[in-house]
Amino acid sequence: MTQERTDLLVVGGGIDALAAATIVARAGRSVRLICSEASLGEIDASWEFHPGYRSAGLRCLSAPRPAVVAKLRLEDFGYRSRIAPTTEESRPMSDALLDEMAPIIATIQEFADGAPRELIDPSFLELLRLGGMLHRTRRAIGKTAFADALRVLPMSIEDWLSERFDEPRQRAQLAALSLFGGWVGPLSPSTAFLWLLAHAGGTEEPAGGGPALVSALEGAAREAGVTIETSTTVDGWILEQGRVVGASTDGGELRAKQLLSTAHPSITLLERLGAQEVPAALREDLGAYRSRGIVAVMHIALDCPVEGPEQRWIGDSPLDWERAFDAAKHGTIPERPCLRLRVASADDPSIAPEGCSVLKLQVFAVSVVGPDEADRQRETLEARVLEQLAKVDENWPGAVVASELITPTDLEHHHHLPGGHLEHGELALDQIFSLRPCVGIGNYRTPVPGLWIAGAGTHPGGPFPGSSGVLAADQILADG
Amino acid sequence: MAVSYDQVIIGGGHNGLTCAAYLARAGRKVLVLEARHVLGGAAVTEEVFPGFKYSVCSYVVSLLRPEIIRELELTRHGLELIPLECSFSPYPDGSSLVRWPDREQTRREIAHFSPRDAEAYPLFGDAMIRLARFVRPILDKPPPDAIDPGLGGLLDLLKLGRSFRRLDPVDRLRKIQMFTMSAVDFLDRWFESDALKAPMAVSGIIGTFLGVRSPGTAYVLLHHYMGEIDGASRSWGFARGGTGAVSCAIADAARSFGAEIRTEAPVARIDVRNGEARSVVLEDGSEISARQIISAVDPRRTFFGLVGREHLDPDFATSIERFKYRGSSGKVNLALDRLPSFTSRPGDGPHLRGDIAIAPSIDALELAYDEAKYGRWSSRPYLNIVIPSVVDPTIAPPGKHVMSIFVQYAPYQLEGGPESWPQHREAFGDTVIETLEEYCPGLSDSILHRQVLTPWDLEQEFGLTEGNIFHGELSLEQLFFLRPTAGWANYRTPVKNLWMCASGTHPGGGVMGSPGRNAARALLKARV
Repeated sequence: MTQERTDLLVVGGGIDALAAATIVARAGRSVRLICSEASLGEIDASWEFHPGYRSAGLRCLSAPRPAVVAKLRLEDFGYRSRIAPTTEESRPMSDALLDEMAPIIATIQEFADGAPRELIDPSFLELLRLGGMLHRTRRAIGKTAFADALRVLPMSIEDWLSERFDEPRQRAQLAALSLFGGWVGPLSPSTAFLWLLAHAGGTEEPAGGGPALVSALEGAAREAGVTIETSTTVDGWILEQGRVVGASTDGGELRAKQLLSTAHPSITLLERLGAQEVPAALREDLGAYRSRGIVAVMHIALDCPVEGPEQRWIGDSPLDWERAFDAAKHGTIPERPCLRLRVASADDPSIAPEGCSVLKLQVFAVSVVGPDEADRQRETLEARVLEQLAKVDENWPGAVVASELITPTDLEHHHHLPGGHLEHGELALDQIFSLRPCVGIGNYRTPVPGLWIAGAGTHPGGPFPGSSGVLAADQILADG
Repeated sequence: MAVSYDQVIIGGGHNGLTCAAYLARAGRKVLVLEARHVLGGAAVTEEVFPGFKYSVCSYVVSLLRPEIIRELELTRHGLELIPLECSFSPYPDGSSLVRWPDREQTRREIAHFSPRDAEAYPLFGDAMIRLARFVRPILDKPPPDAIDPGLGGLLDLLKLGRSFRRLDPVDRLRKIQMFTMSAVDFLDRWFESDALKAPMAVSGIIGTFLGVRSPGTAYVLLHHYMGEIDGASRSWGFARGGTGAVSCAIADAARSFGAEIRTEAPVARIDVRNGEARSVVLEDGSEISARQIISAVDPRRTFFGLVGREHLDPDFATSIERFKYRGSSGKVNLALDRLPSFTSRPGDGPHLRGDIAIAPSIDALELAYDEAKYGRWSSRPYLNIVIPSVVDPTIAPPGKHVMSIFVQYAPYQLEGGPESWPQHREAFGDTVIETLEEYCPGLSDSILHRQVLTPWDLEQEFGLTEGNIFHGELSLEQLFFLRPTAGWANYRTPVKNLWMCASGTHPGGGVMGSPGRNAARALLKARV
C-alpha cells in the first residue's frame, strides 16, 4: 500500500514530535505523525498500571520554555503551568544560589532558546555573538561573580555546595536534582553545571505533569491539521538515491518529502538506516554517544491518602547518593537506593480512586543488566525501595495495592531507549548544545538528505521539553 | 634588620630555586630561604638508609622545560637526565604489556591484547602530539586572564583563538572533549583493550581526588605527550643521583649567578604593613627585608600561614580557602637486596628500565577511587613504580636497588581524621607491598628498608598542604587563569610586593619549573 505523499512525516509520539509537527503543519505543510504506541506521549504518557490507578509519565518535566508555550499557543489547548513542588527545608538555600547564579542560568537559557551554535568551526560573526553574550553576562554580574561562575561549572555539586553549607542533609536535598539527567554521582565533576542546567529548565512544571502537556500538544497538533496515527511500528527508512523518502511500517510504506525522527539518535541514524548510509566518522561518534541508564521509575498504588509534601528526596547525605551511584557504576544494586518521591495523585487526583494515592518514584541508581539478571535485579530493587519508603512512612508498605517498576533494562527493551537513559543520552558538558548528540548533526539536519532529527537526544535536550521540536521545525521550514 | 635584598624567596623547592636563578641571572640580589636541611622541597634526594639514595617524593623528572635546562645551563651544573625507557604493566592473569620507544615493538606488544588497538595506538600518539603543541605555549607564560584580559591579554586570547582555529575541526572537537570528558570515556573512543586503557587512564588522575571515570580527567593525558613534541624523551626521565639532582643543579646555577641560598632557615611570617609586604621574619626572630618577597610555598600556607588573614580582603581570603588540596597519594620507598622478578616477565630485563604501572583494569582503578571517597586508602591501590638504580648505579650499593612506589589513593582525610594517619602508616605500607607481591612474589624477602610516606607525612615533613603533591588539585576549576584564583594567576598577589612562584600557580605541578621561570620573568618585566 502506498500512501499519498505528505510534506513531512514525523516519526515519534513524544513532546518534541508533537511540537515539531504542529509548527510545520501551521505553516501550511501536510504533516503525518506516527508512533508505535497506542497513545501519544511515549515515556511522558499516562497509563493504567493497576485497575483504577494511572501513572503520570516517567519523567518529572520542567515547564516548556515560555517561547515554546507561546509559539505553540499551548494555553489555548488547556496547558497550565504551576510552581514545581520543592523541599521546604532546602528552599532558602536553593533560592539564594539561584539568585546568585541567575545571570548564568539566563545565559544557559539563551543558549537553549536559540538554534544550536556552531562551536567547533565558528564563523567570525558567530564568535562575536558568543563573545557578546559572555560579555553581557559578565557585565550583569560583575567580574568576580563571573569568574566564580566559570570556576563553578566544572565542579562537582558536592564541592560547590560544601563551600557554603555545612549540613550534609541540606546538601543532599540540593544536590539531588543534578543527578537525574547524567551518569554521575554528587562527587562527579561538572555536576554543578548539571544543577544549573536543571534549574535553567525553570522553577515551573506542567500542571498535571507530562500527560497534561502531551494532551495540550495533541490538541494543538490536531487543530493544526496533523494526521496522527498511533500503533504504527516503523521498520526502517526508505532510501532512494541516497535520500530518505519515507518509512516502511507494519501498515505499509509511508512516503514523505521530509522525515523527522524524534527517537534516540542511534535508532534514527543507525538502526533505521543502513550502516553504509552513515559516514564512518559519524557512525563512530554515535557509537561513542553515552546513554547509560541510571534511573528506574516505580509507580506505587496506595489505598490510603498521602499527607505532607508533594516531593521528597530520600537519601540523607551526599555520600548516600554517591554510594548509590557507585553501586550502579559497578553493575550492582544499591543497598539503599536514593529516591525522588512525587505524590503524583496530589497534582492530578483523577489518577487514583477516591482516598487513594499514586506515588511516582525515580530510583537512583540502577544500571542496565543482562537478561538472566533482570528478574533478580527487579526483586531486590523493589524490596529495597520499599525499605526506604518505610522510613518515610511506616504505614506505606502495608498500603501498597500494586506497583510497577520500570528499570533502565526495561527502558531499553520496551521503550526504545538504547542504554536505558530517560533523556535519550546522558547530559554532560561534551554532550550538550551543538555537541548533542554529536558534531555534524547538532543542527537537526543529518548527513542523509530528507532525514531530520529532534528529541531529547538533540539540542537543547530534556530539561527543555518541546524546544528541540520547535527549533527543528524552524530549520525544516527554513530549508524550504 | 639584616642586609636588604632585591628579592627574598621563601622555599627552596625546584620552583623557588628556578625563580631565584632567573632573577640572579638578571642581576638581582636574591636570597632563598629553605626550612629543611636539604634543598629541593619535594624534588629531593635523601640517603634515608645508608648507601641508598631515595628520591623521597617526586620520582620522575616530568616535563622539566627544555628552555630552563638551556638557559640555566643545567647540564654544566651537573644535571644528567636518563630517559625512562618504557612503560611496563603486569596483569593479575600473568600477562603483561610493555610500551617501548620503538613503535613497531610496541605495536606487537599491544597486538597480543587487541590488533585494532595496536593500529590505533600510534595514531592516538600523533593526535595527542598535535593537541599538546597547542597547549605547550600556554605553559610558558602567565595565562591570559579570561575575565579581565586588558589589551595584552586580549591579544594573547586572540592568538590562542587563532591557533585553536588552525587545528583541524576533528582536533578542535577532541580538544573540547579533553577538557570535559573522563579519561576513560576519551580513551574508549580509541581503544578497546582494558590492558592498554588502564595504565594510560591513570595519568589523568595523578594529583587529583578523582577517578578515571570522573569527567574532566582526560586533559592530563595530554601532559604525557608534551615532552614528545621536541622528539625527545628527555622530558620524562630520571636525574642521575635522584630527583634532588635537578634541584641541586638549579641551586648551583642560581649560586653561580650570585644568588644566596640558606637551608635550615624556616620563615615564621611575612611582615605586612599597610597592605605591603616588607620583610620576612625567620623562626629564630631575625628579620630580612627585600623589595619583593616571593613565596614558593603553597597558597594556603602563604596567605594564612605567613601573611595572616587580617591583611587580606575577605573575598580573596575566601577564594584561597576554597582552593582545594585534598592529597590523594602516598609514597613508599624501598631499599632492595636484589631486583624484583615479576611473574609475567621473570628476571632482569629492559622492562625494568622504565616505569611500572600496577593498574589491572579500569574497574579496579575506579574501585580504588570509590574506597578513598569514604575515607579509606585503597585496598588495591594504583601503583606507579620506578627502580632508578637499574640505570643509575650511583644511588645504591653495587647489586642493590632502590624502588620508588607512588601510591594512589591514600586520602588525606582518613575516616579517623588526617592526624590518625601515623597509627595507620605501616598498615598502609603493608597494603602496598601485598598488592605488589601479587605480581612480584618474594618481593618482601628482598626488602632491606622501607620508608612509608602518607599524605599526613607529606604535609608535616614537606609542607605540602593536605599532602597534595601539586600545591593544589590539578582540576579544571583550578587551572590556567583560575590558579590559584581568578585575577591572581599572574604570580602577583593582592599584598603589594608579595609574589608567588610555585606549583600553586599556573601551570601547576610536576618537576616542570615553569611557575618559577614564569614568575621571575613576570617580575622582571614588571620593573617594580
